Amino acid sequence: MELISKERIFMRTFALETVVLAALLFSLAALPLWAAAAGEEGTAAAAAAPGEPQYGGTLTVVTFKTHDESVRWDATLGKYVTNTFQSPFSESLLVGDVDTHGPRGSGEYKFSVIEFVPLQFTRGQLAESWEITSDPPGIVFHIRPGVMWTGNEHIGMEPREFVAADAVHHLERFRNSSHASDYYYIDKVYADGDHRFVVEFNQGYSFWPFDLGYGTFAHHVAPETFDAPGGIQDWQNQVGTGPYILVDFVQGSTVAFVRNPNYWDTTTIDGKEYQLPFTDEFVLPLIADESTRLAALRTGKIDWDTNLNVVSEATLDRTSPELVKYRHARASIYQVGFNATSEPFNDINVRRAMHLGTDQHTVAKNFFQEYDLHAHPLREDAAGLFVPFEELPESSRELYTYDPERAKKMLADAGYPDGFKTILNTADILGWPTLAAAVKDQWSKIGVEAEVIVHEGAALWPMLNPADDADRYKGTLVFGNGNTMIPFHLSKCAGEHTYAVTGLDDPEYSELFAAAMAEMDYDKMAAMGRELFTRCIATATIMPLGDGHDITYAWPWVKNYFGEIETGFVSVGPIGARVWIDRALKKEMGY
Amino acid sequence: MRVYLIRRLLLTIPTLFIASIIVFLSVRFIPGDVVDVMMMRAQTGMSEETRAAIRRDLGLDTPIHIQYGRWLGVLPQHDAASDAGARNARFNGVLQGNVGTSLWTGVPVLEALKRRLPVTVELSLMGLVLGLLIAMPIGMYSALRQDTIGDYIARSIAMAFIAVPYFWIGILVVVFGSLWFRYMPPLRLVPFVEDPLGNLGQFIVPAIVLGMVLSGWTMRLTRTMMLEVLRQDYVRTAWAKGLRERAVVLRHALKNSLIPVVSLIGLQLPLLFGGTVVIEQIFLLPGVGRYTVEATISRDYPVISGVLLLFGATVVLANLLIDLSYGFLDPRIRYE
Repeated sequence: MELISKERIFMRTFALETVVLAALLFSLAALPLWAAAAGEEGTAAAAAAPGEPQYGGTLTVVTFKTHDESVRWDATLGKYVTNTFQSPFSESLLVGDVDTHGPRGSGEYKFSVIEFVPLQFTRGQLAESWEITSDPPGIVFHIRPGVMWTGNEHIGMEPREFVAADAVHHLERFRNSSHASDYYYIDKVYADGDHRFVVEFNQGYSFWPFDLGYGTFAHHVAPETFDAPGGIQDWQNQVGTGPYILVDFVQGSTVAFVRNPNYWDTTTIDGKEYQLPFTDEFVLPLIADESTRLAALRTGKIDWDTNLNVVSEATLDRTSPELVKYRHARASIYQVGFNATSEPFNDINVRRAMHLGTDQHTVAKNFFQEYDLHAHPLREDAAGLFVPFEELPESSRELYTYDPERAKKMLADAGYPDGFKTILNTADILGWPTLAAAVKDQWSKIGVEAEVIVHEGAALWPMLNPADDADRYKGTLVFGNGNTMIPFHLSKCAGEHTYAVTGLDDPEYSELFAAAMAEMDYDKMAAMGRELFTRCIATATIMPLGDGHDITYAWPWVKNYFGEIETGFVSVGPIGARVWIDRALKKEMGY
Repeated sequence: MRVYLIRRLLLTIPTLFIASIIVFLSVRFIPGDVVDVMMMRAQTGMSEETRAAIRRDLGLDTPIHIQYGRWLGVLPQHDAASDAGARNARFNGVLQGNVGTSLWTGVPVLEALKRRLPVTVELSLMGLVLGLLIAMPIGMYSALRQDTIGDYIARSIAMAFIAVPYFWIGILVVVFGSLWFRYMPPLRLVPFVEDPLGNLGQFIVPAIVLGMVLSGWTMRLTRTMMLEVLRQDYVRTAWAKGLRERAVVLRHALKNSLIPVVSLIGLQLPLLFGGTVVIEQIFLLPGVGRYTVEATISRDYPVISGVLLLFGATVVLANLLIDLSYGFLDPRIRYE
């Protein structure tokens, strides 16, 4: 009895301790809520009248590659990621003209998921204007006077004007990097005075607006950055001319910028000109986890979020109905590649039979919910190069139809009455194995037995672009990639080009491709592009599985935003600079 | 004690050497190298010439044993070869205190770790302490109330904590936290020195999630060991002497039941590290876990090798400390 009684006493004490511990844990768990509440923005919007653009506040955006943990400042090592984070503070010679041609202007071009911007939808950024020369072929850029590098105390650099010598330094740097072979068409680069920058080609090159203007390696960083200890790879050394200044970077956490008070560019809203940028701060958080990203959007920690899959739409409609939605094509198109260097896919009739024996619409519908099948080899954004479905020859249009009986007959005629076995390679990336499984199921209905091999992503990629055909993937391949890179998509169907993934030997195609690449006149190049587009489909070396749709969400307090995503190669900075935050509305909405 | 300590410390050298070889080779044998990852992320092709140039720039164009020698610091770095002979050769590897430089960011691994380690250490320590705060009382309660409803509930809790993975609890906390309480982990790291309260607020929820999962095993073992110790003669003697309940349990029983529990904590260190990998990702904490995951995906060999080597060294030393702590917990243990 005594023992039991003591135990009870102990238990009572113990129970009390447990309650205290639980209370402690509970109050600790409540800390973040309390801290978050304490940290709420205390100031409401001031000055400007309702509806009038306001300066100030912080714009927090999730966009392409902000899920990528490893931000690097040297574009030669990671072009996508670097461009995303460079774009708020550094500029390029050309830029997509969102004010004139985007949804806020004439609406001719969406500026959604783009890597390629047709020249007619661009304008000068660091270059005020340019001329295309013919003898020798090349470009003369007239540098915009008065554009200033912001300077950087960390490296002891004072603000100074951006001059032609800086543009030369920039291009020479890439020409002397491991990407030197990308600039095979350039003969000479020089400054002719402070505001004239000349690039002489050794042959015509149609893709110059991308390469030199707004593309992969187009963001200019001050030469002083490279001379500082740590060079370009140290974030603190970065100096640009853009609307923002890079002030904080925590790898794996955030990249933060503040307003550049001396920025040169303006925008016009309702006939009134405004100095850019509007917000005091621009933040790109690095969020790898999808559910965390959704939670951040839902709680208003993110002002706008680019490229959320349509599968999140129903949930977000229910939990955050105030969000404004902008639908657009996805960044990647999915497809099946046939290795045309060996049997059975070196026979075009077999490749055509595989098209007819695959219910592409059903596969795409199940995978994407919303999709566009006719986005191969180029999407309709590729102005002037896109060929509408109705304008394709009948023999190409029928490649999009589902006719398994005819497919079986075609296989029999090609010498495969009982079908055949093949390999369906894919990678563990973004649902590719799911698509591969769906394709395998489709093919089983026409007697083709496919063994799905899922490779690690990095292991698959060399098989797409092998130095030798022997190292190319065996059989077939389910893959996806960015859908607006003109040379990539026009060259992947056939030829010997770096991007050709099917290995089909077609000298005529290769010749036409080379001619298109060398044509400096955009309209002539576009005409050849359309020819390549049509021929590409006719080769039946790539079977499209669709281009899905994504949604960009923005809160209603994000003003002067029209769903644009990029003004150039993953370049979000110029769009962010045009957006202003209605802080009164944000507060009114309880955020 | 001193001889034991020296012997154990000497043993860490071959252990770490073997670990370094395994770590160095294993990451390089994963199919697809860093240049392939660069090409994959660019989603386009790269000419063979460009690929070769990048490999050369990154020092990946030499045989693997040369790369290992350079990383270890017994061979000069790759840019030294073209210099004016051996007198200019730069030995700058692990033996010289440099575990490598990221192939992607160009930031030395140690420098990155200096920034990230405090985050992971804070999260781990808080997780460990909270895990013990959860596990020990419940484990003891469960033992003292053996086969009662309370015991069954406590054991079920322990099993649930063991069975449920970190990422699931973490995601639930973030998803339902955002839906019901508008809770969202801060997007930016709040340094403790700048805002202690904000920092604790940022870390406490992930630490509780981490602690919950860790506490499962500790809870089970504490219960088992307490049950065993409570049946020992010296505990019965303590009861017979008329000592207060608290003294019997806390002073006599608990301390003696702790040895296996302390061993378990040592064994949980790798588990703790594994947990931080996921938790840091979900709760936006820029720690070593996220760094390692990204390095693995990116095939950033020096980072993977460096982090794993340092992690291996930490586990070895932590286990040494735990072994030494046995002497404190049980004076009968001697180190000879």
